[in-house]
Amino acid sequence: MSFSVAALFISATAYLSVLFLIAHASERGWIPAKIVRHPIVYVLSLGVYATSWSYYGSVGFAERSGLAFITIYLGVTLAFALTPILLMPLLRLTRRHQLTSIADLFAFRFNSQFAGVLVTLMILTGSLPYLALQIRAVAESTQVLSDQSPPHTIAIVFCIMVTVFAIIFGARHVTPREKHSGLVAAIAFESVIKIGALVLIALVAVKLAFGELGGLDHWLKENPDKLTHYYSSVSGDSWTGLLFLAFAAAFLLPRQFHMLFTENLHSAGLRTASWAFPLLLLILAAGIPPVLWAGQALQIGGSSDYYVLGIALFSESAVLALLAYLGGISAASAMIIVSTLAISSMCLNHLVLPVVRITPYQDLYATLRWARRVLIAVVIAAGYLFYLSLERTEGLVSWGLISFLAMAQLIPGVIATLFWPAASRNGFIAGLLAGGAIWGAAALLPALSTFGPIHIVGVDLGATQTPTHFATLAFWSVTANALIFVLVSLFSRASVQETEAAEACHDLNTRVPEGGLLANSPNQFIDQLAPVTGASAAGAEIERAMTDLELSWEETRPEYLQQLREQVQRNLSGMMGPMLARDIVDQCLRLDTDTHTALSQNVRLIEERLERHRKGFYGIAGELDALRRYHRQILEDLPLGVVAITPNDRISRWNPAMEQLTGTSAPRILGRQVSELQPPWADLLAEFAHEDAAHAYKRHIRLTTGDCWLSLHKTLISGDDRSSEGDRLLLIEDVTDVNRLENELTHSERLASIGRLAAGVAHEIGNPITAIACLAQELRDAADQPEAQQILEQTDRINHIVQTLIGYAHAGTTPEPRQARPVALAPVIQEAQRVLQLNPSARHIQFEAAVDPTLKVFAEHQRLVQVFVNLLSNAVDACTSEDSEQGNVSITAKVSRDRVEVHVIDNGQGIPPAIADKVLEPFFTTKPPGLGTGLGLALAYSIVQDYEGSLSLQARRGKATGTEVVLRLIRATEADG
Amino acid sequence: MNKPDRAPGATSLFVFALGLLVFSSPLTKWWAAQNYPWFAPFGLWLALIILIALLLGRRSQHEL
Repeated sequence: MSFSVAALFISATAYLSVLFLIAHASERGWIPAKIVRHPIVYVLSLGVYATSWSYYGSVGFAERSGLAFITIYLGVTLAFALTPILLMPLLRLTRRHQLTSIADLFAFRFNSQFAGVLVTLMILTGSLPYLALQIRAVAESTQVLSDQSPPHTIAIVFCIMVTVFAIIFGARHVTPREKHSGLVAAIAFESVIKIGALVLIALVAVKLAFGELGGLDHWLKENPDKLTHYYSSVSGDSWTGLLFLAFAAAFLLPRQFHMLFTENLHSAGLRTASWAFPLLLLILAAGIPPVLWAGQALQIGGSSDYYVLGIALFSESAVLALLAYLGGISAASAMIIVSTLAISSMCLNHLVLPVVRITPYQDLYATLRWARRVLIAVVIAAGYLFYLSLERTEGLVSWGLISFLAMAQLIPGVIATLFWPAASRNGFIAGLLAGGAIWGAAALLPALSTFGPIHIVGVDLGATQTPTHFATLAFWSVTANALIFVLVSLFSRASVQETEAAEACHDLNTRVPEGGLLANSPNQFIDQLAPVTGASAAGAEIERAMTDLELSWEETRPEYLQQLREQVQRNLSGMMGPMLARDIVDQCLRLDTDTHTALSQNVRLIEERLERHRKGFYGIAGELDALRRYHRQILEDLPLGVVAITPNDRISRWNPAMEQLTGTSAPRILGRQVSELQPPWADLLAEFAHEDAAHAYKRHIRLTTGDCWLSLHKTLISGDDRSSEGDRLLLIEDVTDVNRLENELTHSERLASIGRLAAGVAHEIGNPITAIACLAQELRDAADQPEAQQILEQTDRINHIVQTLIGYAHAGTTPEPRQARPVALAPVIQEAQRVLQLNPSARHIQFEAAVDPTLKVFAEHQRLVQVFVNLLSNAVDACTSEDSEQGNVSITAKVSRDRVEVHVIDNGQGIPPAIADKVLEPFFTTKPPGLGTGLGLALAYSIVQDYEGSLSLQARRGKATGTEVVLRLIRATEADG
Repeated sequence: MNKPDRAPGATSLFVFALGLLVFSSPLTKWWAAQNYPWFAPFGLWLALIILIALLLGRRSQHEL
């Protein structure tokens, strides 16, 4: 059975069109995001590892080297076993610093553009033949199925289609943060096709050749040499070397690095991949031996590299043959697409952009996007040209191993990046040059040319490209690489920037930004960035970085602007590589290196870092951190406001007491200028901070909540090694309550002295009062004048007032209660009303008394009149304020068990809740100075208490305003009287 | 105070070392010499994968 080239061409084109459709559907959201973003899809996309070498070549590899073919997958398993300490830290690193390729990683770690260039060149050189190999596999598989000479047309069309696919779905975004979900979905689909096809072919092969699995065992017993050969390579020289090469290739091959880290959506995917990806490879590899032995048993003929197709043809099933063919297409296309994307990104960042600098007159994003698209086309075209020159090469395996060997040269660098901060750029470059030279001379050149055997330390540079040869080369090249790397690192000194980059890779970066930024706001960032990137790109980048950091456009705090600068650098790094990003940021967003920032200016930054790494502190570091937290907690819990102000008047500490005092939260104010505080705090703190005096007592400020008195204390913190001038530490103590108590005490003392005077004056007043009383009595008796009776009542009341006042002044308590007797309540209230009527302001008030005339309480008539006069007087005052309506005071009384409850209710403005608990205190008054003594209610309260009664004030219920005074007195019955 | 974290970094190293023991040590040569069925190496490989899934497949503080 054979196919026409046209049929195969249509099949391949249709298959690639399906890929387009899947990618497009994913990006359009036609395929649910939960499917596209599922870890299994991510795991399947890692199947790009299995190229046409795995798909076709593994069978040939197994025929030549037996079980050694599984080392290519076992090595990956071992690498994924190290996910938590190898792959996860790399993912973290690439994501945090937006590194899109292995070249970016090394350029960033060793702060060297040259390192990036070197790695890019090496990967490019190692990958181009590998790309060519895929094209060749497509062409040769077409040849196998069509029995025609290698159809270059199908190779060209295949190249064009994968180029278009890579350009459309792989280079849509210029930043690595925006993932190519369509690409991932399409590559995952390709994995399903190739692995599914291979498994199916294996099952069909067993069925055709042996009938069942037991038949295979039987055949192996009949052909013991097959099993012996199968196991013989395990004890061969190549086994361990191949394991090592596959270990390196698992995450360093450009396509693996791209899918593992650049297109990774979340770490959960990598966690799943740690076991699921090796499982995927196991399924793929397990089908290889049966296919090989079936091919041999069926005597398929031809190269064992294409037994997969041969068995499909042998089955006489066109569908199976086409499926097998498309499996190969999928393996080759996935590899070419992803590898090209990764290589083009590396070439752009490390070969093109450093030479051809962008200009501000171009659209930066469009320029980068088109440059990358052109590079994709160039790389695939180069791969095709390589394919045309590779006709003579024997197996599919060699070029794969050459590529693997190139990646293995990066292993020392990866280990140093993750575990050795002291490794130097010179060491890395020297080691890589040494390893690369061995690789180039002993692996790459012999594959490209034919020359005689040249023996150097046991390695035949012109030897046949066998797995053993590559295993030996792996040992020598990587050993030389690592030794030179370590040796040069030990004897070379790293620059400050390199050390910083090394620390950043190890989460050890304790440095804080030094030097002030020349830009003072995000808008100034745009102005400074625009001359290099263009205004629109500058605006977009600053906005993106601000969104990342959740900053506002009004942000002016230097530490936040520093963070913005770092974020801009990271974002640019994702687009054009870490070195160019650093150059642009250093050039545009310049630092004033003459300005030295004190440690305290970055306290928040340092504390954030320490909090982030808190779980990682052990031993002495853990104890130091615990001590730091304890000391910070002291400042936080201090009941005094604590403010630290840097020499350039920025606030570096603001404790919770200060938050409570000012109502300004710490995150809002930390890092800002003192002058940015709300009034009156800005003036108060700024003035005191610059005063010579270390203490200021009872500074008065007016807050919305009322007057406030503060005592302030200041001390100067010694400067650190960055700055000779230290911070000023301010302690703010709220002494408002103490001040009020002092004022009240002073007032009390003054009144007490008046009281003492009053005691003396009382006698003097008593005589004329007594005279007035006598005269009034005579007048009453003689002329029967009712006014005389009123004069008598008032003189008696004067006596009571004076006596009470003296009692307050002398003992601070009310006088001894007099003999209480049953007193009718109604007459008392009537008398109090009459007294109030003498007050002109009370004449417009309407009094409503509803008191049972028979109701009696235990008290003294005169003192009870005093109580009601005071209560009604207060009610009248409350009703006569400017904005009140017609004043109304109602008095009701009711019996409640053994008590009588009297309610005095006015419709005035009521008592503000803030002073409700103070109105019964002596000398408390809401009236202007000179219009009230603050004794009225206090006296009433005092008198009521003398008769074991109670007095309370409460706001009126419902919507009505006013005050309700509730008086509770002991009820007197007829029997008592 | 924090205690040094042993897992999954140490667990990862353990699984890796076990993998090396089975697939790249004299033990490898020993099982290869026993003439086990052809799929025996795949069985060992599957066991290693199951171990990885059980010991490393859980969420940890090493993640992002």
